[in-house]
Amino acid sequence: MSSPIYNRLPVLRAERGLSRKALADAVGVNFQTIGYLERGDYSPSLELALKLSEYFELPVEMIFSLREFQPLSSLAAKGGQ
Amino acid sequence: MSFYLRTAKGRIPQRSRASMRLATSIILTGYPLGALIALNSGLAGEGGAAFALYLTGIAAIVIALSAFFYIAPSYMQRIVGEQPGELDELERDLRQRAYAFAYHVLTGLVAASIFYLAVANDDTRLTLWTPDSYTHWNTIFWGVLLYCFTLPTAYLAWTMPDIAHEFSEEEAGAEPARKPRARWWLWGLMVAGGIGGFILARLIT
Repeated sequence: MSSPIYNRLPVLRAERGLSRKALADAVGVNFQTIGYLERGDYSPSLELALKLSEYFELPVEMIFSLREFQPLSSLAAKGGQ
Repeated sequence: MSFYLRTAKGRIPQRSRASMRLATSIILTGYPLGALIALNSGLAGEGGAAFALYLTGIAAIVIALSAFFYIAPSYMQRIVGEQPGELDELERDLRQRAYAFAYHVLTGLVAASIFYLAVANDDTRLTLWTPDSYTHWNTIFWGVLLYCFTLPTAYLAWTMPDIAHEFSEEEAGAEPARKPRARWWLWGLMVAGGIGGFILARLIT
């Protein structure tokens, strides 16, 4: 069984004020697919992952990870110490 | 093989997962049940009881067919019935899984049916029912077709997570990213085939 792939899509989308539909149109999928991706119910193909990485202008590993992402608040707390 | 009722602008009417589960269950149980009741209504004799049984069977079939037209334009039916080029990668992946499930169920049903027919035809000590008229085979044909169209959708209805409530009304009413195009060549081919068949039939007879 494949391991779950975690992602930061909801945060990135909220940051840019994007709807699922707008993001879906930008990368050529249906908005339901973005919903399944965000929930972690579906792992994207390499092609879709690269399209999302290009769209957000971020490295793929900043959007997707095999390990759970730490919340930004805890990262900020560590940075402050 | 499947069937998808595409709406004029490609908009997909919203159907909850619970309603899809209910509708597919009604189709898969209602049609065979209705067909069995209608075809065997004669066993109740010649009077009003037989007619009432026949009407009950027909009503069950009509309910099953109505349930099919409820699911026909849905998102799940789109996944299994739309042209592959119009689907995205998740939808194509789901379609493969749904078709694999339907293949296993249908091959099991076909094998069981052939075994039953073999026994029913071979052993004359048993008086097992076998289809022996056009009405019987016609009912079976439409039932098989309905199962082919519905089984993959039923699989999706019982396995896909329910996320419809997470979408806004604007998103839910949106047209698909890949807008369907009319395949004029396909319509042309079908019309030409029909005309050709008609001419051929007239020439032969």
